[in-house]
Amino acid sequence: MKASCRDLEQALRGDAPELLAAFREHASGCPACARELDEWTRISSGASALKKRWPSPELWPAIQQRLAEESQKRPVPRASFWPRVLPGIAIASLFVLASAGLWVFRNARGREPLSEHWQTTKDPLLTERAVDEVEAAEKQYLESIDRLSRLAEPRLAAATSPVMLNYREKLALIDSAIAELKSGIEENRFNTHLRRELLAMYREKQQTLQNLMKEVSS
Amino acid sequence: MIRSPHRIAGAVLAALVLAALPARAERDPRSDFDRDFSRTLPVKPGQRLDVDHSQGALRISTHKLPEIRVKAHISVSSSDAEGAQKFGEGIVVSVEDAGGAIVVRTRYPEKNWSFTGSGHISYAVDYDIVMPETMPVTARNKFGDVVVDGVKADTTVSNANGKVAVHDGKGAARLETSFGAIELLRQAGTADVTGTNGSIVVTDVGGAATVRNRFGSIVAKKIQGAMQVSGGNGSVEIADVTGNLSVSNSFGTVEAAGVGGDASITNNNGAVTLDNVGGQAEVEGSFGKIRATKIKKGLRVRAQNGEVSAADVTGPANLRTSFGLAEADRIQGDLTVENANGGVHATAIQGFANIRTSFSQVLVDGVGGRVDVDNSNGAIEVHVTPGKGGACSPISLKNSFGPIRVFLPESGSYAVDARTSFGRIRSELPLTVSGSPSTEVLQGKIGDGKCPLTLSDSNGNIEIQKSAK
Repeated sequence: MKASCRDLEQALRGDAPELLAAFREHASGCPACARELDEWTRISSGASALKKRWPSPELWPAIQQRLAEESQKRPVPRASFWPRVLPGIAIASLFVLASAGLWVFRNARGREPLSEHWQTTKDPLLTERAVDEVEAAEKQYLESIDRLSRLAEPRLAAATSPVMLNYREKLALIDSAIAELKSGIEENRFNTHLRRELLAMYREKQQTLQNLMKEVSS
Repeated sequence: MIRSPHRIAGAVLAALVLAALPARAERDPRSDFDRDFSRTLPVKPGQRLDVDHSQGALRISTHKLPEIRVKAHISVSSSDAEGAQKFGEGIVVSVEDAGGAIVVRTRYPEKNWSFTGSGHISYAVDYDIVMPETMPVTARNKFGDVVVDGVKADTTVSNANGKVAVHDGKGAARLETSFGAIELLRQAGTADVTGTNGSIVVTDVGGAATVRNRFGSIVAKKIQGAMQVSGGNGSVEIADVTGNLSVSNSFGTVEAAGVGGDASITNNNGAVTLDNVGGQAEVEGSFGKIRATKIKKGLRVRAQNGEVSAADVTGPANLRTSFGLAEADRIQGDLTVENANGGVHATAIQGFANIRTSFSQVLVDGVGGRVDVDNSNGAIEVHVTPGKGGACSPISLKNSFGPIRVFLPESGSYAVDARTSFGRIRSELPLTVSGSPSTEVLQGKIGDGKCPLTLSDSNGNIEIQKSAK
């Protein structure tokens, strides 16, 4: 079988191995096709590697559970509280110190994401610990998003197909929402709703980029 | 050396406390301030509720009393205890009788003073409003969810960065939000719903419904009236619409079942499934399979680069596609198919069959009316069903680069004109030949020769065979 430059997309679909082999043979004598093939292979392997390293299915429900736990607690006056409970807190801190780096990654067994819940009139402001944990989760999402964005940006910049233009529009919309939420959080750091929405937006951006990479690979 | 358990425990505790202290020193001290607001106002007939809020949830429910009760919970947290209190006390919740409306507003202080510590301040105001059930409501919010329950009057909600849920209402519901889900359940009236980037669910609506979304799924069920849907980049699922249905979507699947009136669906880059339409149906799509079943008053499909299938259509079916198989089954009317680079498979067609395609095969099994097939580069096979009382219909099959096979009833009555350039012509049925027969030209009569049977090929054999049925 012989292949030409026009067979690139069909060859990369993966349903005709002989066509891919023929295209590789063609690419060996065609620098332009060799570049295309190399780029697609790199993106495909990069996307699958990222997917393996990102623990979001466990991360998100775990954050939700932790925030739900926080929302059950009520603030206690500190002046009379500390002398009585300091030893207990010291012991509890053993558990916290031991598990702080792990808890966000544990499996919460299918709990719904935060964004599924309506905000109630209880605990509209997060505790400091919850904010720390949410920020740690945000950091994880941002690292993943940065990696995916580096792979996706060349494709988006040169986008001409309707599907890629659609992805570009959606990502721009998500970025505008993220900017608005971050601006709100600068003024209102512990606000539960803002934090929850920002985390949901990060998750959506990550998913959108992953879907985009799958689209490119297929 | 043996140490006592108490001394070991003490040492561990001391170490933990010491370990914890630096972390505490780095953490901001934080002071919380909470305040509740409550006000009740009488409501005059004809007044509406107007809410303008941000940074918190808004819940509106109803009662049968002619008064409105507004409760707000104000939460503030800051690194500055005095600043938290000052900021919290500066948050204004106003509830005013403005003549035609009861107006509820939230105003936050300008943060033009500095807070001690790290200087952070956080705040939220959550509302619980109970109002007369017949009072119309307009609510605007930002950075908070909105829930409205049981309002038996027009309801308008505009939100940003938050969800909207409206349940058990009456009258016109106009809901919109950006970056949040919308849920409208059991609305005894019309619905106009606009989202940007979140899912939309609309069910049990007692009037016409219009739903728009840009990036998110749409589910709409049990709509007592006409429905218009404009979606994009998300799936659309519609069920049980009593009136006409119009859907425009892209980059997502469209499924619609149970439409009382006409259905018009346009979808690009996604599949369409349409089932049980009381009126006529029009479907346009590309790059996705289109399937239409149980259409009562005719079907028209315009597709590109995708399969098309139609079944149980009462009335005419007109299918156009390319690069995909076109299937038609049980069409109680005429069938027209225009395909390119895709096969055609038609069965049980009561009216005439008019089929054009290229580079693939055409199989027609059971046609009651006239048959007209034009193909190139593919086989044609047609099984003719006798009409009422054994009546025949004209048959015209044209091909190039492929065989033609036609199966006729033995009782058929055809005037045969068969021609091919590079192939042979063969007939299982007895023919009264006219002219000079050859392997490439055959003219004559089957039976009385009532209906024309025109078979034309360029590079392929022509076979006339007995129908097994």
